[in-house]
Amino acid sequence: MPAMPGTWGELLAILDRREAIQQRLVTAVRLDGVGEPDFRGPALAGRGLATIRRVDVDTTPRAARLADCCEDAAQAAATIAVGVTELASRLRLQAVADGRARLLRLAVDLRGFLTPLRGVIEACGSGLDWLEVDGLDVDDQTAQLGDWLGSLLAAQEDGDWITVADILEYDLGPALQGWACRLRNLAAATDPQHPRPA
Amino acid sequence: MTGPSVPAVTDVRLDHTPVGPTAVVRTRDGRWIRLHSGRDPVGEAERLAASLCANAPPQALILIGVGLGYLLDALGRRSPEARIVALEPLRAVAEAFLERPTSHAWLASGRLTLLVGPDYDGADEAWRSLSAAPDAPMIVAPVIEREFPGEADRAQEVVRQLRFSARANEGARRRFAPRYLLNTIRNIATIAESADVRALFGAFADCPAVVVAAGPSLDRNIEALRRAHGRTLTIAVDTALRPLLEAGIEPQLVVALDPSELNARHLRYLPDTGRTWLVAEGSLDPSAFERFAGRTFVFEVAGHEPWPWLRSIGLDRGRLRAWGSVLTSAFDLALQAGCNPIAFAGADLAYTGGQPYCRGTVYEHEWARRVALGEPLEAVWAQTTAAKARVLADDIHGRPVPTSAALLAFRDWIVKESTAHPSRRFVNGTGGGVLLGGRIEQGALTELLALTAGRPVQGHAAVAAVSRTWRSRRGPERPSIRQAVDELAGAAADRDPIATWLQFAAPDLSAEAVGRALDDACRGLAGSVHGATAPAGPVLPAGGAPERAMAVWAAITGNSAVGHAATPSAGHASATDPAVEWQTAGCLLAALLRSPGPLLTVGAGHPLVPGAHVPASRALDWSPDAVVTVHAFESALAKAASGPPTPLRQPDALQVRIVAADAARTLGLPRVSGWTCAELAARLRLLADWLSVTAAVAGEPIGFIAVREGRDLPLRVAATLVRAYAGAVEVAAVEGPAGAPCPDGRATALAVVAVGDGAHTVPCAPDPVRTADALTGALTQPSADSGGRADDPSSLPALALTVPDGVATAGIHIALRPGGPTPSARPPALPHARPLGWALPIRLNAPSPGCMIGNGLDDGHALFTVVNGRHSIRVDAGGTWTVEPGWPGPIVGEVRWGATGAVAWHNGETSRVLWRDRPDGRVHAGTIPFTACLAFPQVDGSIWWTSFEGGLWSWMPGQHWEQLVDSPPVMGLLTTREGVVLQPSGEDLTFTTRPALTDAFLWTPGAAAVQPVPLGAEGPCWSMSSGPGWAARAYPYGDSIQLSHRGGVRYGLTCGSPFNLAWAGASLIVSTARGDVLLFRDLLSHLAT
Repeated sequence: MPAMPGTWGELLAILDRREAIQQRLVTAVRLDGVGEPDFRGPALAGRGLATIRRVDVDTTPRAARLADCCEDAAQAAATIAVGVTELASRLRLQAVADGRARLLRLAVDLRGFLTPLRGVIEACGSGLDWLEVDGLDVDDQTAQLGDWLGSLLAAQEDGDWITVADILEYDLGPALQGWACRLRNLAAATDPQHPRPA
Repeated sequence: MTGPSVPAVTDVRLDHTPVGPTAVVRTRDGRWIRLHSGRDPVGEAERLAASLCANAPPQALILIGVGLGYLLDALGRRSPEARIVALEPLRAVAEAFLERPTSHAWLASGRLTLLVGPDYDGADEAWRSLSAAPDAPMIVAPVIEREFPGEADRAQEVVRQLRFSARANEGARRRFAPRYLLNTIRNIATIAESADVRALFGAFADCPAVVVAAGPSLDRNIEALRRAHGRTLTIAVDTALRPLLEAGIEPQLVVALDPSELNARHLRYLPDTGRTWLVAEGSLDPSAFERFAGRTFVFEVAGHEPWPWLRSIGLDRGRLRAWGSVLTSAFDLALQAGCNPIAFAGADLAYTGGQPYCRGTVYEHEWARRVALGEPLEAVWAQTTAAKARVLADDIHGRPVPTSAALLAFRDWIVKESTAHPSRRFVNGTGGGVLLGGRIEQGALTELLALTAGRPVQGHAAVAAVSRTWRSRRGPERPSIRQAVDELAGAAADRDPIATWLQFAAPDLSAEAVGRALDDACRGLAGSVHGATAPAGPVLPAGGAPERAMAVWAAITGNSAVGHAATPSAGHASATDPAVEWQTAGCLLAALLRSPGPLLTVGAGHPLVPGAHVPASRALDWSPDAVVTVHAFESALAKAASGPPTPLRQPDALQVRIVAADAARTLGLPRVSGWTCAELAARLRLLADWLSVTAAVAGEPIGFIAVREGRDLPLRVAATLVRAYAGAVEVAAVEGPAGAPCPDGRATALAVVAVGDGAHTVPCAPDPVRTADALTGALTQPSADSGGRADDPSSLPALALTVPDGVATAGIHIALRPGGPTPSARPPALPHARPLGWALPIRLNAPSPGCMIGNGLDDGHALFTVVNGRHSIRVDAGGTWTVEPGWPGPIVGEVRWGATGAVAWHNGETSRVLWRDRPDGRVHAGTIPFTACLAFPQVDGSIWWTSFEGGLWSWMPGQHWEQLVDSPPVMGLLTTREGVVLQPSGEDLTFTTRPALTDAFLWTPGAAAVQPVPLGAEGPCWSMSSGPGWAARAYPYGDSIQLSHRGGVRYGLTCGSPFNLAWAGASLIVSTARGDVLLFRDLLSHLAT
């Protein structure tokens, strides 16, 4: 008999293991009737169960959930890729003032895209090898992304907007398109019944 | 292709991509930035081209920022036919581009004009690539625009200049292409006989040269040029040739560029040009070559049609550059000739001193036309330059001077050229203007003399030798050229090169015009031009033309000459004898009057300058055959008029009679038909000018103000009359069919007789108003048998003036018979009498807008009221006037009331009367129940008033208005033994159309109604005044004043539209319908009792 969980994080681990057996995922949690969207976040993990009188948990079949997440992520990656290409075109025309703002937004979008994607994938317990591109695994690619962003920032500081555009158009854009493609493939493989985008 | 000059550079790095190199440049602050994509510069350029040039492929493109040529290639692929003007601001990048094979293909294609910053050498010629599309789209490489904004701006400024030049040249091409083409064709024979300008190239190596332009400072450069002349090669622009020649300087070369007929004037009617050689663009107006036969070099500037064809038939001439101004071509000639140093004179390129050009150019005649209206010359210059001078620039002294963008552009071109010739020395000796910068030194022309010390003299002989050498070396070109032209003449319009020419000069060129030009060319080639000497043609003096026009204008109008320029060019100011000049003018006038041919250009009729008092020389468009004589006539008149009064004797060649038509018949003078109205008017104008100047030279004052007492010579009147006739004839010329002969008929005729050379009798209709004005002052004695019907010339009033034996006018007989049926409804009511003498009036300089209503004030003064003013003027017998005490509001008339009081009135929305009992007394006001005409004080203290609505009224201050009797509208009244005769006012008070009034209205005081009584031929009398023994009555519609002595003697005094009158002592003061106040001073002394 496992030890009684003392915190919400411990309870969630138990729930995940139990649901995993049934190929399901915990997808929503309400504590004392209050919905907790970031129920997997570290802020909530340490919360003592003694302070909680009631826990409601929703679960979803794992494959469907993963497919949904991958599809959402693929869509986001494709959208960002299009934006990146447009931005590159604008920068080649030296539309710099607008370009700076859009670069900032791109950074935010990328962060908002990658972080939850990774979390969801990990939560699903799926391996990340499917994201390998040209022999680069996710970590390598993340590092590469970091390099690109570094070069991009340096070029931006120099006012070398052609180089910025090159990075966006020839590095970041294709990578995002690749990820979008792979995520869609993963969604299809995970849940064959999952509707494919037109 | 305009070739660039690209020096080595170090701040470009080339990276390599799979599709080619890509450029990275280092910016001023040390950053390295890419000009092209580092991954796919070709694809990048394609997309860029697609976004920048989305529309249909243009004819031409402008690209700023060539880089390594990727965008150029992409644009070229999208617009395979387009000409591309590419500007690369970064010289290092341009060098990198030129090292690429793709650049070689571009340069070989002829589609690319590459200009490289920062100097953009060749930009002055690059407009040609845009000539067909000056509004070609401009694409600026984005990275250049953002990273190198200064360079991009400079490049765009170059593009603006290119566009400006392209538009200007395209506009000029459209405008001038037909002329350029046709003139060049017409000139084929001349071109064939002229030397090639290339013969001059290098022929004057290290010879000092002066390039002389016609800027304002040339006036001050002349003396230095005279001293330097013969020690330098003097190259004048065409505009400057005339002032140089008039100053005795014969330049070895004169350069002419402009094909217009207008510009050819610089080269026509010149003083002796026997040694000056013309360096001419082949399209000059053919007349420009006439004085330079056998002394011409020819060049071309653009290779336009028909030069390609001319070259194909073996007629080839070299090129001089022309950057918008003949000065640039003259400078280029000096450069090409190898001259060193090259100095400039008269090259202000600015309006120094507010003057548009130096003195002595043909523009003097344009100025003279304005001056002929009485406008000061400085004002003419100010208006001329104001239209052009829209830029202020620092002159060589650092002071702002007005100039224009075009002149500055010419300056910039010259400056740039100076830097392109580091081995030469350039000295601007102009002493003013904006020609500074580059390698141009500022210095006095006298310094050039020092430079030329010890040098061999380079004179006209050297130029002639160059021409001879060229001729000796050339092959026989004339026969083959003649054969080719003969073959082409009469060819179909669709045959080349005619088809090409028609396209070149479309839409304003016809095949017929080309055919005529080819015919001219055939005729020219059939004759022999070579070896012909330039005919010694007539000379049209230009220097001082405004002053001459002003002098004649002053003589005509009686004004002082104004606006004399301080320093007219040398050669036209010489001490002359007025009598001799007057004789000369008479001879020239005789020649002009005798001339059976047209004096005016074909189709001329409208005066160029409106106004009766404009000297004829400036008023009309004289034909080429007459213009020189006319200007010589003006010159002689001006010199005669400018001298002191002098005794004259009869001109040797001229005796003038002006007689009536019937007199012409009586005298048996033949009638000359065939003159148009305009031709007749032209002769009359010339005659009037001569009469006016004759009066001035003879010492007879001109004008009313300065009339000399005791003289009644009628020259002024004669001149005015003739001028009036000329005006009437001109009206007929303008209103009638163009070129129609002068109408014959019953109108009063004028005969201009040139004794000893036949006679010309020409009819014309006189202008009655002007005639009456001219006759104002004629004293006549009415006789019973002198009246007559208006339509019978023999019964017209005769005014025969025979000038007695005064030396001033001996030989001039004038007989005039004014009157006769006129276009207006005005009846002929001039004095039917022979004049006894003249009492020329003085026109008082009364306050504006003049006076109309007046009456006697006391024995020595008259009172006239300023129209709608607040006061009247008191005029004495000598014409001195003083202002009377004013009124609180506007008045139109004033009469004395009692011993010290006055009554005044005014017609506004309501008519008001004002009165006071002494000059400083309180002013009372009341309303008049009608529109008041004139007031007549009565002995009982009442005042009678005539009314525009009709009727006679009585009023006394403080009492009611009483209508004495009703009547039609009346103005004046005369008291007779029978009663009061009310004088009708008519309906038109403008005096232009005079009503046919037949009746006055007799009122016997106490009667209830008026009785009509017939008016005399002179019409109604509106004013009557009694003086010492004499009464004067004014008849405005009869243009006469009747003077009657109590003893029964009567005189007529001609006066144009007398309105009111009053005696002031022995003088009579008359107001006219125009508001003039005329003083017939001491009139009684002219009248015998």
